[in-house]
This record gives sequence, structure tokens and C-alpha cells, in this order.
Amino acid sequence: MTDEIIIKFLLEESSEGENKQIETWLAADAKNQKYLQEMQLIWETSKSLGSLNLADENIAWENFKAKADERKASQAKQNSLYWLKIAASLVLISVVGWLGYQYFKAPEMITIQTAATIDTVILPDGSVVKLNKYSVLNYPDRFKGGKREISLSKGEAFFTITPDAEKPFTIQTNDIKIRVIGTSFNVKCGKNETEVIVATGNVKVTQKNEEINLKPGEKVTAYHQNVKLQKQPVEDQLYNYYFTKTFVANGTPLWRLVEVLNEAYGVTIVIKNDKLKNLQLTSTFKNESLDQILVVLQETFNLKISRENKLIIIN
Amino acid sequence: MEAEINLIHQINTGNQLVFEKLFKQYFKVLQNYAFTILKDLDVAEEMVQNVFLKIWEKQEKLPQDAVVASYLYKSVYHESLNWLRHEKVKASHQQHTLYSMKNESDSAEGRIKMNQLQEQLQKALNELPQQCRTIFQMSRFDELRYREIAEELGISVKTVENQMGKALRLMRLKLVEFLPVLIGLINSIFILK
Repeated sequence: MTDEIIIKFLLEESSEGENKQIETWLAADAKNQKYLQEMQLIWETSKSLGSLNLADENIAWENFKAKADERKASQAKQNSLYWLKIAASLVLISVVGWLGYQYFKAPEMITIQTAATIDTVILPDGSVVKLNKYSVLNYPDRFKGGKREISLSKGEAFFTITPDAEKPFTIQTNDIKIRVIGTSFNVKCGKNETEVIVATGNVKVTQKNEEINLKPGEKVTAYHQNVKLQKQPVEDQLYNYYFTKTFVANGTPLWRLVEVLNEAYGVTIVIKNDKLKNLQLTSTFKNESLDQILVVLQETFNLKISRENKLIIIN
Repeated sequence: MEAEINLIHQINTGNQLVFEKLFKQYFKVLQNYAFTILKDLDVAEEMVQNVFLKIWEKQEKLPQDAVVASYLYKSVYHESLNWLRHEKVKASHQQHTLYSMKNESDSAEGRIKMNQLQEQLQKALNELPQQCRTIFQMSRFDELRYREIAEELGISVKTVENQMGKALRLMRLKLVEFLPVLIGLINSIFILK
């Protein structure tokens, strides 16, 4: 007898034929009766595994609706919070990224080149550079690490360096290096030499293995053929005319003034008579034209000044 | 089958009235089904809620070729087993003992034996495969006829017969050592009465 039929019999699912089979089977052996009894016990007892106190489906539906609404509300809240978090993270990442990029990227080099006019350049540390005509200055857009390095590859400039003992300032020209902390000085790159004149503070000039310290009123001319570096006193204040617009002659020989005027106005003045070369002049020309200056010279020393083509000749 | 496909379509496309009807139709039988696994009516309700929530919130779509009843029983079964896995047997066992105590029997000895029988039965029920258990559940607690079970689950009456046979056979095997004592006990109570 199969369990299937026995259970069908118990559940009154069995057919007439099956009922007869069961009856025969039960009558055949007491063991069979016991077997049926066991199955019946299991079936009856298993009923108690269920519950009779089931919730009402209408109340359950209300409970369900409340739960669904609650979840919907909290999910909407979480969603908006989620997007807010994402947005905030993105902003933070971009800001940190941008700052990091700015900080870690190599500084960009800036080149300032002047033509027929002078220029004033403010460096990232606040130092001021008066750049003379036809000069070239290179500097980074920010000074990174413990140093400030720039270069003057051509021409002339007057530097007023913002003091910063932690970050020494270095200017590279042709083959010399000028190291300062906080000071002002003039650098002039010539074809064959570089001239450094100190106005205030201390300046250290290095050429190959040679090094020299300059104080205010001192200058050095470093020749590219590498003659020994030598300090000299600064004889006059004419070097700074290009940004002061002032020519200060204080017992200055005429040849020297002529030299500066040639440079300043891009002309060629020639002193034909050697005796006139050492005539000493004490005077200040401020914001005056070349012609005005020449008239003063002419009248002071009783000179004859004539023009031949582009030359100006003093006799 | 036509009606079944239509029902699934209605639910998947978010027809609230159809959903509500489905919920109310199946809530009790599913709660009872979960109860036989969990032995806690509140948790059982929660499991049924969870299954319907997943459908409601479209986290889970009813498969096109599903039989809704079968799908629901299966989902509640897995939901309940997952819960048990998290909660461990301890809590549910306590619940079960408490529950069993409520059942009356005529003698103290008989009650203890009945409790043991129920406990063993519960164990055996919990070890039945999902489909076998669902069919047993529908027959035992929902008191459906074989034909009705077959229709709801979209299976043949023959399969229902086989699964019922399997369910009782497996349960009997679990209880085989208890049964002779119990039968004797019940008989003696019966005779005394």
C-alpha cells in the first residue's frame, strides 16, 4: 500500500476502489492498522503547528499600507540625502583636486620682454623689477620650495627684492649668479660683461667658483672672459636714470654723461675734442628731453654742438 | 492561465486595486505558512509584508509565466528562512516552547509527550522541501482539496498526491521512535475515557 493512497484515504480524497484496497489492507495485518494510526496521529497533530489567531486581512492591509508609505517617505528622504552627499563629495573632490593640482604642478615660466619702453614687473613674492628697454626677464608664476629663482637673459633691470630670509632670491644672468635676501640693486647685462650695482642691502655675486659680497654703493663688473671679480665704488647715480627719469651728475665727467645719454636716448653723441671729455658737471635733469639737456651742456661749457646725419658732435 | 497572465500583468503595471485584492486573498494563508516556520505571528506578518513590499515597490516583478500562489508561497518560505538565519533558532525555539505549552492534554505525562511530538513534527516540517511543504500547508492549514491545490499551484492532482505522500512519509520517519509510545498513550487515554 502506498503512502499516497493512505493519505488520500485519511483526507477523504480516495476513490471507491482505493477505499476498498485500504479496507483489505487493514484487515490483512494489525501492523497495517498501526501504520494507519501513526499517519493519522501525525496528520492530526500537525494541525496544531498552524495558528488560529491569524490577523484579519483588512487590518493587515492597513498595516501593510502604513509600512509601505513609511518606507516610501524614508526612501525619498534617503534619496535626496544621497544625492546631496554625492554632490557634496563631487564639489569636495574637485576643490581638493584643483588645489592639489595648483600645488603640485610645476610652476609656469613667464617671460617679459621689453621693446622701446621700460616696464615694471611685480614678481609673485611682491618684489619689484624695473625692466629697461630691450630686456628679457624670466620668472615662475609662483616660487615653489625654499628658493626664489629668476633670470635676466638680456638687458638691464633694477630689482627691489621683498625680504624673506627663508627663501633666498637668486638672479641668473649670462654666466653669473646674484644671490640676495632682501635688497635693491641694478643688474646690467652687456655684450661682454655683467654689471651689478647695489643700492641697499647686501648682494652676493658668483661667477664660476668666484664669489664676491657687495654693499651699498659698491659695484662689480663680471667679464665673460672671466677676469677676476673686483669690487669698485659706484661713482655716480646715473645708472638708474631709466626708471627714475632723472640724470644726476655730481662732479661727473662729460664723457660719462654722454655715455649714459647715448644709451638713454638711443643716439650717438661723439666728443671730438679730447680736452672736453673730462669737464666735470654737477646738475640734475629730471624728465627733460635730450635737446633740453644738450642746450644746458652747450651753455654751461660753451660748447659747439652740431648734427651730422645721425651723429651729434660736440666741439 | 489566461486569467493568471492578466493578473501578473496588472500587478506588474502597478494596478493598486488588483494588488490589494491579491494581498487580502492570500494574507491569512501566507501568514499561517510563515507561522509554521517561525512560530511567531508578528514576525510571520512581517515576512508576508516584506514579500508584498518587494512587489509593491517593484523591486521584484512577478515572472510572466509564474503561478501567483506558488510564487507567493515560495517567496514567503525564503523570506522566513532568511529571517531565521539572521535571528538564529534560539528565539524561535523559545516561542515554540511557549506556544506548545498552551496545548492541552489530559495528563501531565501525555502533555509532555505531545509537546515532544509537536517539537519533532515541527523539525520534520521545517526540513521538508519548499514545494512539498507548501502543498502540505495548503492541505493541512488552508484545508484545500487536492484539486484546489493543483489549480492554485498550476500542477497536476497526481503531483499533489505524490507530494502529500512524501510529506507524511518524511514526517513519520522523523517521529518513528516516538510513535509507538504515543499511540499507546493515546489509546490508554481513550480507554480511560
